[in-house]
Amino acid sequence: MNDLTHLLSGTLDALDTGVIVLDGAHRVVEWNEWLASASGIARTSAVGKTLPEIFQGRILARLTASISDALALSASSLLTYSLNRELLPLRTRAGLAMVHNVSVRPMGGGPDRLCLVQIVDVTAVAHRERVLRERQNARYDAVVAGAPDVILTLDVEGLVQAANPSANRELGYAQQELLGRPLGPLFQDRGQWEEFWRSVMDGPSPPRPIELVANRKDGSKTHLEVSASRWSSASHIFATAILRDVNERHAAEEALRSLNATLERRVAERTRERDQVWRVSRDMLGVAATDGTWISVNPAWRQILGWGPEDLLGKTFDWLEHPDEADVKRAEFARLAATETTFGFENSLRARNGDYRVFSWTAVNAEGLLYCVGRDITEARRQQDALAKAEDALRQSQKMEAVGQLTGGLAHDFNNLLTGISGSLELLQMRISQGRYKDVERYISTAQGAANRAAALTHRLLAFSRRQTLDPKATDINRLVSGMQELIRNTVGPAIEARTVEHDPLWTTLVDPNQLENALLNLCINARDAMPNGGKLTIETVNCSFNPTAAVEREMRPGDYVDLSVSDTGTGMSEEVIQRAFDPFYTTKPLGQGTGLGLSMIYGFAKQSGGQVRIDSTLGEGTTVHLFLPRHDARETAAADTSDFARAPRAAAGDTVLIVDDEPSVRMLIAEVLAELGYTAIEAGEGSSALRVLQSDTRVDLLVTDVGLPGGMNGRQLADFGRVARPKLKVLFITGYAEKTVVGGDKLEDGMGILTKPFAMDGLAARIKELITTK
Amino acid sequence: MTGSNAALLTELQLDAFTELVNIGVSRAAHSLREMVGAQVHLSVPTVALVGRARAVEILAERELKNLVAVHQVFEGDITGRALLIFPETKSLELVRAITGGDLPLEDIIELEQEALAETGNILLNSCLATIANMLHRSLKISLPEVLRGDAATFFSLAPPPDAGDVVMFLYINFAVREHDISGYIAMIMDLPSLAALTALLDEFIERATG
Repeated sequence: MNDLTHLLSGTLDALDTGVIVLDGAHRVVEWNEWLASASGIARTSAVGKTLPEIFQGRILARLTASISDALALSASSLLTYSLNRELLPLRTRAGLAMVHNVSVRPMGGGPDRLCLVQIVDVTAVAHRERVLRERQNARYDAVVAGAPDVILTLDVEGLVQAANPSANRELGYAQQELLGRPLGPLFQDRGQWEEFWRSVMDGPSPPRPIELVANRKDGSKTHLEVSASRWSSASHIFATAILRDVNERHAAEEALRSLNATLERRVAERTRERDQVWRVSRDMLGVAATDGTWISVNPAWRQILGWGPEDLLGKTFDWLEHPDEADVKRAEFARLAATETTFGFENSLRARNGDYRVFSWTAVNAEGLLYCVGRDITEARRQQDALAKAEDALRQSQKMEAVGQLTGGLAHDFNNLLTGISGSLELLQMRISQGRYKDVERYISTAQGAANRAAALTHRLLAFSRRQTLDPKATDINRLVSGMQELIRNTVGPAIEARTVEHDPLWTTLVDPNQLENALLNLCINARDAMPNGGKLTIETVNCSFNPTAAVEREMRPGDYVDLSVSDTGTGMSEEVIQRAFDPFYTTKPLGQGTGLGLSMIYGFAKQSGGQVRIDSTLGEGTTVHLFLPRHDARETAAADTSDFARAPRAAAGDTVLIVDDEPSVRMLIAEVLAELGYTAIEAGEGSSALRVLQSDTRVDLLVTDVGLPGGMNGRQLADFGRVARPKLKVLFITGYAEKTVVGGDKLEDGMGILTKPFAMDGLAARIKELITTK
Repeated sequence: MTGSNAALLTELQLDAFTELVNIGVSRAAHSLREMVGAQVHLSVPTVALVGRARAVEILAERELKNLVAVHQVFEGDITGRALLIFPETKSLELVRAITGGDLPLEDIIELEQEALAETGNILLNSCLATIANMLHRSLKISLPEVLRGDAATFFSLAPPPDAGDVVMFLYINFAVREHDISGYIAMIMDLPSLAALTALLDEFIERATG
């Protein structure tokens, strides 16, 4: 028995749990070594005392009640550290507070019932759990507490079990307000949430996130993207729900949607605008394939031409085009459409009413289609034509005005000359009738001078009208200038120093030398007039060549020219005066001092000779006029000196000349001259009587005929008919101006000549002799 | 077992038993109040005596499949098992209610097992001890054990029960700190135990009315 007691006591002390045995009065009967160590209270101190006595009141009522239950009712109780933080003031061997569970059980039965209190040290377990939990919590907190999203743990019923700080920020509810509450009422569409929740709990995998609108505590709305997935812990099922603030994204989507809507509206507006342009345009708009087949035409076609889409689409222009221009236009169109991206052309199209209207087209070739705009320019064309007619009329009236001015000036000049002639003749007649022959020579020379001036005047007129008959000969201008030096010096007077600079060798030119002399004299007179106080006059000749560029600048043909220039050191001309210098009747001289024909006549002569006139001038420094005359390859032929009528060639015996002129005075004059020279003259007033003579056997060595004849037959025709009868008939045409086309162009046939009125009698005699003697 | 509870227990006996249980739970409420430091209201509105199979049916009909139970064995004049049963989903809420709700979810999950065991222990001890005390009998009551599973599991614990076992089935409501949790107390007994209980109840009625 003693052994057993000893064994039991030893066992109790060796146990790794605390053991207390209490009697029915709650007094300690047994207190093992483990407990003595943990409580610091020795067995001897504990036995016989109640627990409240031992621990000095530091004991839970619940433990006392459990002991009572065990003793009175045989009930066993478990007291855990989880619900009872400080059951007993116990320490571990290391002196740390001991975490412990306590079980209270009845021992034995009846009145001797005892109570066994067992204490288990769970410090290590609790500590391990706490460390684990803290570590886990640290990780969890780092993720969850710091997350910007709301993270909620929901139990299987959807009640909130945990909420992170973002829940408060986002939803406005404190954690305590959320715990144990269902989430559904937060959402505006609760049904959608419930459905989502069911698929979270029952579905095989987490459902796709949904977007829900939630009400915050303050009543404001927030767009949340809700995702959730379930998990389990210690056989409990939970779900973690993440509520992500997508207000920004939502706003962006909203903005994008609105932008899209706006864009659509703008496109629609723009399209409407384009449609409007298409519909209301007064130009014909159309889209065509590159072969010209119309794909689309606007309403203007119907307004302008009367043809609508039903007439036009699927066809080209062909059937509408003017038959005269169709082929040309089509070829042009095809060429442009193939090569140009943007091109314009014009054509005429037939309207439904049969009229043709003119269109100016602009077409753009883009992506295989032609976008065409056709403007109706019919009216503009009509106005343009009317304008051109009006301009013509204006020109005509200006011409008539010029002619009026010219004829006025001429009448004045001629009246002066005629007065001189008729006055001289009157005086001559008077002296002759009185038998006073002493002074007649003076009157005759006066009349001749006036007549010569009149002849020069008509020459100038013809030169201006470029209808003068030039008699171009290969001419050495240096020789011509030197021949005129004396005359020029006399003309310009002693106040002006005249000199010539001649380039040698100088090319030969083909000009009418008499006209060139006239022109040179005219230029010298102009130079003299530009130097009223004296100066230097320089006449210079030089060879020059113009390449195409230089020639174009001077309005000439490229090639070699001889430049005959006249320079003065006079007043010079302004640019404006130079511009107008060649205009007929333009003159800077006082009224009555000139007809203004000088430079224009020179211009006409130069152009007719294939050359050009240019003026270089500086106001106050002087003027140089260049007369360019084309180079000629032939050498100059010595001109016959025929200036003396008395030495004119005499006729051979029996030489007969037929004179045809409708002007009796001219006819009579020529007949007189011929008679003086020993010719037999036959006169005819018009072509038919002359032809009768030619068709007779009468001897005719030469036909002298005016080109312009009355009676329906001109001089040329007369000559032609005459040559039928007499093939070798020699003919001399006399003409007021060069009726070259009538006479036969530039080339006269052999045995034919031409003489321009007025002519000197010795000149006539020389030409007649020349023709008759040529074989 | 198809017989009605009326055939096994009179209305008077049931009323008496209901009275005893209510005394027991109010004692438990007192204990819990002291432990958690907050008002705890416990009530047992109805008591029913049903067959084991019917008890399983009732639970299966009303509750989710997953249940949690605190189990204690009582021995003496009446022998059987006492079970405090909750839907598993409510067990955490119960723990949160008991522990005060400030603890993180993870702590509650960790504490669940022991807290449930102790809470159930208090409740079942109070009921069983009160009944035994009032009936002037002694019952030896074991330490609590937490079980998980469905109703069938709880009512088929080894050793295998006799076909004639009956279940005293009680609804119980907890109201702690704004939490309101419903559960069940089930006392599984064999017929001899039931007979002993009825006899004891009759004695109790006689004492109370006599």
